[in-house]
Order: sequence, then C-alpha cells, then structure tokens
Amino acid sequence: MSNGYVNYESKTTSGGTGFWLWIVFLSLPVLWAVYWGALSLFSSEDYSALGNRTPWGLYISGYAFLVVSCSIGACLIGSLGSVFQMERFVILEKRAVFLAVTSLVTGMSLMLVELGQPLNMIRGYIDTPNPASPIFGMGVIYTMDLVLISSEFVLLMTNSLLVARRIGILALFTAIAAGSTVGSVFGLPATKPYWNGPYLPIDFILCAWITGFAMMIIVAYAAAKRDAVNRPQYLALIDSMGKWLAIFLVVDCFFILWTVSTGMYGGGGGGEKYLATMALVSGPLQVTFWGGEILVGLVAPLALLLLPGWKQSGTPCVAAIMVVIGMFANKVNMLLAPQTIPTPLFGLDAYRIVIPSMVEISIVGGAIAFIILAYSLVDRFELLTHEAEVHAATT
Amino acid sequence: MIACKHENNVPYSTPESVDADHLRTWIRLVGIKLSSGRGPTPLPLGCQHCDSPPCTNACPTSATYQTPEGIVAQIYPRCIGCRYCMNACPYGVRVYNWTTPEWPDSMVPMDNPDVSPRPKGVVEKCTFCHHRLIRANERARAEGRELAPGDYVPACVQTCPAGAMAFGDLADPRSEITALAANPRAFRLKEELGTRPKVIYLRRRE
Repeated sequence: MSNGYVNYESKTTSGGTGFWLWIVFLSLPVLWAVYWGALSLFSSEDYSALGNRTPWGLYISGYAFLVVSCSIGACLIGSLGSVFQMERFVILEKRAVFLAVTSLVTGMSLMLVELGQPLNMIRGYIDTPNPASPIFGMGVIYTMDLVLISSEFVLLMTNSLLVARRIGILALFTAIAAGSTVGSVFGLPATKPYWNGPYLPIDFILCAWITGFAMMIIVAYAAAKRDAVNRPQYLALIDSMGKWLAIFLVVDCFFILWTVSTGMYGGGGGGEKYLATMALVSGPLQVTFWGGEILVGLVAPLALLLLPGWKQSGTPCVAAIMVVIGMFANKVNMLLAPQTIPTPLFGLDAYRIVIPSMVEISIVGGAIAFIILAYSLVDRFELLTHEAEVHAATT
Repeated sequence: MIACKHENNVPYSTPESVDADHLRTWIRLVGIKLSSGRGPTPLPLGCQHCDSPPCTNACPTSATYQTPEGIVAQIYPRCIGCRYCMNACPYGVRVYNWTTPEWPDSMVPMDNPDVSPRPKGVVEKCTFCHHRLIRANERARAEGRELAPGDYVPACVQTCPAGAMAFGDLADPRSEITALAANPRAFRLKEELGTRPKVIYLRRRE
C-alpha cells in the first residue's frame, strides 16, 4: 500500500505474535457469545436470569451502554474533529466514527437476543406503529443514526471529506436525539418513579461524553504506543481529553449526588423512589454502586487524572479503562434499582437479588470483546490512519 | 384461577418455572395491607383494564390496545417481546412466555378453541375473556337484539362459588356494578398514578 511514509516499517513498534495471540484471546468470548446468542434466539428454552418481576436485565444494560455511552460517545468525540474542526481531534476522526458504527451495530445485535419476537418488529414498525411509544421513536431515530454514521464512515474512508463533514453534522444531532430517546424509554412512564422525569435523557448524554472521552483516550494511547512518529500528537491529545474527562466526571459527581439525595430525602420516605435509591446505597446493588460506579468509575479515575506528572505514563489509559467499567456499572445499577424493590402487589416483601446468568454475561461480554476485536484488526492493518498522521510522517 | 387457565389456554407452570419467576397466570391472589392497617387481605389481582392504561402508550407496535368497550386487549402476532409494557404496568399483572408453552398430552383436548395459545417471546395478560364478549355480541346480533346484562361474564366471575366477584357495564347507571362502585367501601389500587383502573374492590364491613 502506498501511503507516503518514508521508512514505513520503523513507524510501528508492535510485534506479530503478540498481536495474533490478542486476537485469539478476544475471539474466544466472541464465538462463545455467538453460540449462546444463537441458542437463545432459536431454542425453546430461556437462558437468562430474568423473570416476570425483573423483565429487563443485563441485555438492556449492555444495549444502553453500547448504543448510548459507546456509540454516541464516540460520535461526539469524532464530531469535535469532523464537525467542529478542532485541529487536535481531526487525527481521531476515522477511529471515532468506526467505533461509533461498530458499537451501534453490536448493541442492536444484542437487542435481537433480548427481544422475544424480533421479526415482528419489521412488520409492526411499518403496519401498526405506535408513535407515542418511546421505543418506537428510539428505533426510528437509531435507524437514521446508523445510516448517517455509516455513510459518514464510508465517506471518510474514501476521502470525501467535505461531504463527510456535512453528513457528520446531521449524524451528530441525530445521535444526541437517539441517546436522549433511550433515556426517555425509562424517563417517560410514571410507573417507575426512580426512572420517571427529564433527568435520564440528559444523564445519558453526559454518560456518552464521559465514555466517549474515555474510549478515545484508550484509542489514542494505543496509537501512541505503536506510532513513534506521531506520538507527540497523540500525547497532546491525551492531555487535552484527560482534562475534559476530569471536568465531565466532576459534573457526574454532582449528578449522582443529587440523584441519591432527592431519592433519599426528597419524598415521604418508603416510596418506590426511596426504596430504589436505597437499593443502591445499602441494598442489593451497593457493591456495584459504591464499588463499580463510585470508586472504580469516579473516585479512582479522578484521582489519577488530577495527579501531577502523569502525562508520560499509562495513567490516563488506566483511568479511562476504569471510567468505562464505571459507566457500564452505572447502566446496570440504573436498570436494576427500581426492579428489585419490595413490592407487595408483586408478592415481594423484601429486595429481590438479581444475578445475571452465565449466558447473559457471556453474550454481553462477547459483544464488548467483538468491538475491541474489530477495532484491533482494522487498526493493526492501518485502515484508520488519518491524513494528518501520513503528512506528519513524511515531514 | 383454574377456570381462567382452562378458558384462556394458560399453560400450567412447573415448580422450577415458579422458582425462576416464570409463572404464567392471568389472575393471582396477593395479600395487601390496607390503609386502615388491617391485613394482609387476599385480593384477586388481574389486569385492571385501566381507562388510562400506561401499557398501551408503551407498546411500540400497538400489540396492546384499548377496545371500544374499554378492555385492554392484546394482539399476540404484533408483540415483539420487548417487555416494555411489563415495566410500564404498575400492577405487575403481565406475564411473559419465557419458554415455549407446553401441556401434557392428556390436557390438550381441554384447550379452548376460541383462544389461541401464545408462542414463546410474547407478553400475555387477562383480557376479561374478550373472546366471550365477541361470542355474546355475535349471538345477540343473530337474535336481533342488544347485548343484555349477564350475556357476557369472564370465566373467573362465572366460576366464583362465593359470589365474591361481580361484572358489568360501568357506563350503565342502572347496572349492579355501578351501584357497587358507588359504595363507600369501594377502592381501586394505585389510584394516585392516574391510571383509572376499572377493577374495583370493596373493603370488608367493619
């Protein structure tokens, strides 16, 4: 491949065997997920830990994490270069849009396993749609989003940059609308007071920004390790994104603080919103809340990002990985909290402990592994190299 | 509950499926404490057929809808199995077919041909035996008359040996059910949510 590099081989630093071992390591959970996904789709049995009183579980958390936090997050960061023409972020454009498309497609595939009769959706959305339903709106807007970001990616790869950037503007607004619509799926019905309200659609977009910056820090760090020529550019980008990530994490601290405060002290006590909040604070979800969402997802990364002298080490990458884990925990906690509360009408006198089945964990884990696998492959073969990197290498 | 299962081809649940919270029943007994402090009082709980049902707004494919008579009905071939209606329902009366329903061979001849069995992956719930209403309307039309009180009652009301359940037209001011609904002992579940349930309970006489 002619790419304008001088002495191209000296640009990369990674070996071959280690990379292929990494690919095999990622392929195993992907294949395992495909196997169990197919069984779940076509078998007469159910392999999840869900039930009539907990109808939504890890598949929905995984879906919300992938299509909102990951896909929209990547789209937002990509737009900083493509739409807002921020010089420093242009180098990440292709990588970000690729991750946005891959995360969205993977999340939608997760939905195929979650839905009981996915094929009915094709006829139902055309023949008997219900526009009042947030899920209907989510489906329509995400379909538009998929078309737009896929088109943007193809245009970027074929160097039609002007058209790509125009499509990118549409993709950006559609992505934000799509993410907030997922929030409205939870926020609109009044029957779950913990979810109900305008907060979740806004919180989902905040989580997208946080996860987007975290993912791109990891991506930039991996690129910097491999690309000695463009390393200073990537390090400067990591520095910038680290600061933005820290700012958004501080904002998230206040989101969580006021969510917990209003849940604990805002109502009459004993109501469903209070019970759901206490499920996180001291109930069955306290480990995933305090351990996953707060300590790993907020406190530790903030401490790492705000420490002086971290720029040359892998600290921002470690912080970013922790943030991504925390954001996944956030989706799990948000989803399960109101479904585990004591509800006499449901025959539940105590909190219900919901532990996902190994099949659910395998499928969601495999979905995440697939995104990492796909990105590793395209990055290894330099398919996402940006013109900015090429020009830097030849000067 | 037995009458409902037979009338509507609701599959019997094994102990394993009950443990897994996959119980399929359209009506169940729940014990709730009343605001007076008495209880727990056993109440039969099925779909409340709300006048403002949150489930119909939730369904993306209009699989659940409200009939002109006010029954919240279900069209199973439209259901995509997203279970949004289950989370939207504040009464927890919807059940999902987590597995393919099965009946012992000896029970197959007892299936009601008026009610289609539901496949794996769709949500189902009490329909006030809507198929009985359709039959009653057809009969009345054939006889050239309007539907009369008593022409149509759900299986559970018909079967109740204690006469603890009554059924009728809430829109008819002369009906027995309207008089019962006006009783000072009458209450509805979760009225504060604004769902306007059409199932009304009467408190025990003090």
